[in-house]
Amino acid sequence: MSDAAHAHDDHGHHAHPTGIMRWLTTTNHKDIGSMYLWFALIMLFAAGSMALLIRAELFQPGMQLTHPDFFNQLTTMHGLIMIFGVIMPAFSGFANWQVPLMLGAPDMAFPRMNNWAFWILPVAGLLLMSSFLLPGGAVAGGWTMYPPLFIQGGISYDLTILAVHIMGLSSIMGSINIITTILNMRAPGLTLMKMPLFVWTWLITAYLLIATMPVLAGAVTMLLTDRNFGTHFFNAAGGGDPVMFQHIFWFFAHPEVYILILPAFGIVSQIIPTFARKPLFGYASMVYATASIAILSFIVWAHHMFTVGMPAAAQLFFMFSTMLIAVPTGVKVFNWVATMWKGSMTFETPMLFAIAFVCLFTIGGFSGLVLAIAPVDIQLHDTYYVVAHFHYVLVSGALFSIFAGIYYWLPKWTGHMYDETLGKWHFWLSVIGMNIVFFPMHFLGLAGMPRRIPDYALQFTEFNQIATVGAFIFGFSQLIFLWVVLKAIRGGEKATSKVWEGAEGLEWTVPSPAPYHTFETAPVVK
Amino acid sequence: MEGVAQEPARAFVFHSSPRSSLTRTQARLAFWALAGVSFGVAMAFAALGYWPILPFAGLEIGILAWAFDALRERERDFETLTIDGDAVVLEWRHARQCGRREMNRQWMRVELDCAGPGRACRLRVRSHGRDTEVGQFLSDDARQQLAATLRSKLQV
Amino acid sequence: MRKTGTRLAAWATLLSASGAATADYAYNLQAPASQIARDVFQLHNWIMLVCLGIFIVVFGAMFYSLIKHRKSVGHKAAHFHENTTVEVIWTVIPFVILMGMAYPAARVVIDMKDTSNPDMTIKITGYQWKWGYDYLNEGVSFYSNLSTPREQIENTATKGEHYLLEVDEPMVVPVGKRVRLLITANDVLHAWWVPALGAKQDAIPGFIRDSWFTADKIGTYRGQCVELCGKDHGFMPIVVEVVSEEDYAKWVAKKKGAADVAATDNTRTFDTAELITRGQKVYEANCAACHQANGMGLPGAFPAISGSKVATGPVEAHIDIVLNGKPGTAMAAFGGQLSDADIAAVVTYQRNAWDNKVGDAAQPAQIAAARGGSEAAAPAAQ
Repeated sequence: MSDAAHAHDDHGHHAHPTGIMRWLTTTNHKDIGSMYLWFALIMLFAAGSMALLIRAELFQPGMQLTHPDFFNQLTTMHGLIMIFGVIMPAFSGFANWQVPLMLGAPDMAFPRMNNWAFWILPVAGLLLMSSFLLPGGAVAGGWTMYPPLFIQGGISYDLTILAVHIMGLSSIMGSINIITTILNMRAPGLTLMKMPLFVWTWLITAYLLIATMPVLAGAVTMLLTDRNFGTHFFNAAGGGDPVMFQHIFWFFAHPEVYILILPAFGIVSQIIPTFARKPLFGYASMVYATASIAILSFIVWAHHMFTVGMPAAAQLFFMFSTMLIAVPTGVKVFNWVATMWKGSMTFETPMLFAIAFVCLFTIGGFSGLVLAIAPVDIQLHDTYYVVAHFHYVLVSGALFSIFAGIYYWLPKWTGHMYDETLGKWHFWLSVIGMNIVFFPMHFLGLAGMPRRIPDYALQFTEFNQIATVGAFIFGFSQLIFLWVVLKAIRGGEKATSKVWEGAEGLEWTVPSPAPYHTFETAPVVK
Repeated sequence: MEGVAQEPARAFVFHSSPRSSLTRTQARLAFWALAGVSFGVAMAFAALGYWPILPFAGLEIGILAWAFDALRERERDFETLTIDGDAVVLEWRHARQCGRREMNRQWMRVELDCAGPGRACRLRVRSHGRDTEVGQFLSDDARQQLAATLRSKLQV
Repeated sequence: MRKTGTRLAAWATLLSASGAATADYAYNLQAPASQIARDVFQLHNWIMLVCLGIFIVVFGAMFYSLIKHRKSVGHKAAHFHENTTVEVIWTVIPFVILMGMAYPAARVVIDMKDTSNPDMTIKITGYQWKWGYDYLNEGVSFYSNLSTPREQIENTATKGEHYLLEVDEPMVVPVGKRVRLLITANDVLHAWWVPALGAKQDAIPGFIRDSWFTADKIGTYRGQCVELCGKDHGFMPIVVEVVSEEDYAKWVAKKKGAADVAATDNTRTFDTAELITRGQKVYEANCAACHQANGMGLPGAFPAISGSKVATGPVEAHIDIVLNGKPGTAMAAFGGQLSDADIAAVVTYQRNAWDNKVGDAAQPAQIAAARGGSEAAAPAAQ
């Protein structure tokens, strides 16, 4: 480290620590942001491989590659890892990189806590993944962990509970950090209603996380004590109620659904104005729409449970409140379209992903509206229609927004432009592959194919085969993405400070790549 | 975190304090909006007999309280370094401790230590065998710049 | 609003029905066979139609913009970014459209939940992994297992037409009767669903929830368990035979006769060979899913029976675990599911199959004694 000690002698060079210790002990928001994103990418390939194995098994009727119990392990782990190991960490990565830059802050409010929040995450990931090697295999009770099935499992179920606790703690620390950073470290003049929409969506997301994470932690703790210490929270024979777990779980998990999509709204709201060369239409209404979605998310949870047999009045309440969510969501879509309207658009990869997001997320929104209608939901609940719905929202929604954001900010992060041709290949293969996988699933669900089954009746064969072909196209085209990212890190055309012609905001005023420490003196926002 | 160097006629003054865009009232409001919902939800489930959510909500509110308290504490922190002729005065408030130290410019040394990998550099002034840390609210770059400035001031 | 809604829904039904005639409903919900299923079918078509309309308008505008307002055709960007009137309009219009969906939906919800005045009541119980049916009015009870042979699942035999959607004992109901279903579960959550009848209800251990249907047409309707219930979740189908009233009466009489035979079985003494033959059948229907046909189980998840301490130790302990299960594991208490004769047979089979050459046998009388005449009462039939 003698280099660093002499850094003051020649002002131009700011040496900083290298090696594994740099990453283990770093408190720099950019390092931590990068680590979140790499962690998410690795997990994406892990959980994606599970998805391909699932699709391969479902290529034709009969059991070919897996055993029914292993199949359940795959679907469960695919869900848990994609949610807690891919989408959430990726958004945290964006927050770490972009929030301080967008606010003109030197770092996050609590850099040390930021380091802890990240580093406990790989521990949880390792716990989850290693449970495949335990006797009895990994957890197979579904990512929703419904008792009493979850009570039956082996040691890996306890490990999963532990992993969920660790991931929850990580989210709490991350959220508190993000909230305090956003509220307390804004540059002078940057009032709340001047903040970029990405910052707004993360502020609301962090709020949702803080409000609901204790509920998840409590729910899995009760599973743990029911499993090991003879309590009967969810055991009817002991005076408990298995349905109450579902209420508690979805009280957490419905806001969680928005935790997985609100930052996506934010990313897309940054990208579309840039490439339309026109300010975001209806900034204020976008903020209010995001807030209304978040508030509504607390009173709609039971629409995940229309088939548990609740009174008609409860079904009606949850049906109406769920349908209401379509209003603010619609406002968002209309605003994006109005932003494009009469713009001067170009179609670089980030914009392509953002447009695909608007289009395909809306399809997921429509199937969501269909599922909100309680009688229709009762027919479609736990079928492939639901699988199609949430993959439209989470793959072409959350994941595509992550791709869009990576392409958009990668030049800022690495200092190099990515390979536009490869980026376009990645986009077209992903968008076509994704639709081939998930569109036929609507028809499978309507025709009556239940979800989470390793084998199916003959009339479902054709659509399953189409879906499997699409899954392999979609899966393998992600290798192009990996290649594009690595290529941009290693070199390429130098990016300018502004990168995109239409880019606006504080983050584009610092050089590309963003220096190790930005904004030593606070910029003033007029 | 802002640092402002002023150079009136002879004295060199370097004042820095942590960034704070949240007023006391706003901070209180933000804390209760977060803690209130967490606690309310946990209490509602506890009333139904599902009490294990409560300790987790408590733990979370504890971390939140610590965070907001740390922010409020930080608000009053500052650091002022004045060099007037040969008199060097360092005044600070940091981590609830106030301090003042007077040194002679001739006896003062500036030490910049960037030994901790991934950690921020530490800038210290040394006089008569005693170290005092300065530039704690600055980013690394600003701290390195300050070190260079101080060194040039000491040489005059 | 409502009138237009109904008319449009009817039109949509017609549209999809004509398309479906060739495609066998592969692109829509299954052909409804009850009033509720038909209501849901129409509701779904109506909502799809509305969604399609909105989609065309919104994305028509977006794609028009994508083509016309691009830099490459020289379009200069406008600078507007706010318009309160427009914002209010596109908040209010969706709200009005939603009300047009909510009203017909609410009516179906209320119909669906109204389980009053049934003509008959059937209690349905989900087990890992089969369904049990108790006809409360007729006193008929039986279990319904998947009847697709393992060879078809393992791809060593050609798959039949109703692969995975066929059972040994279907649920039989008379046509045109209002059937109330009381649904519960024995072990974990299950869900009973027959799409064409529009009835789906989670089966929750310790709770009884109800649902209903009135089948319009004679025929066979197939469904599956739709709540993840463990390893063989995909292998516990539901088959409902809707028959004429005369056929239903005949079927009830036949089932009652079978119950009498089962009752006499519980009181007689079998020889070991007879028990083993019968026990093998019981084993394959109830035990092989976990413990496997070769008795080796699945390491880590389900213990082996071949060579196990229980199956080679004292017969009383063996009977006890079959009767009462093992709490906290997937091992169910079979005392409520199997008759004394069947439990005696399966215990005998397990003690003499594979590597277990214990050589002794259990008789129905021993099982009755182990039940102690108390809580683990034997089921009425089977």
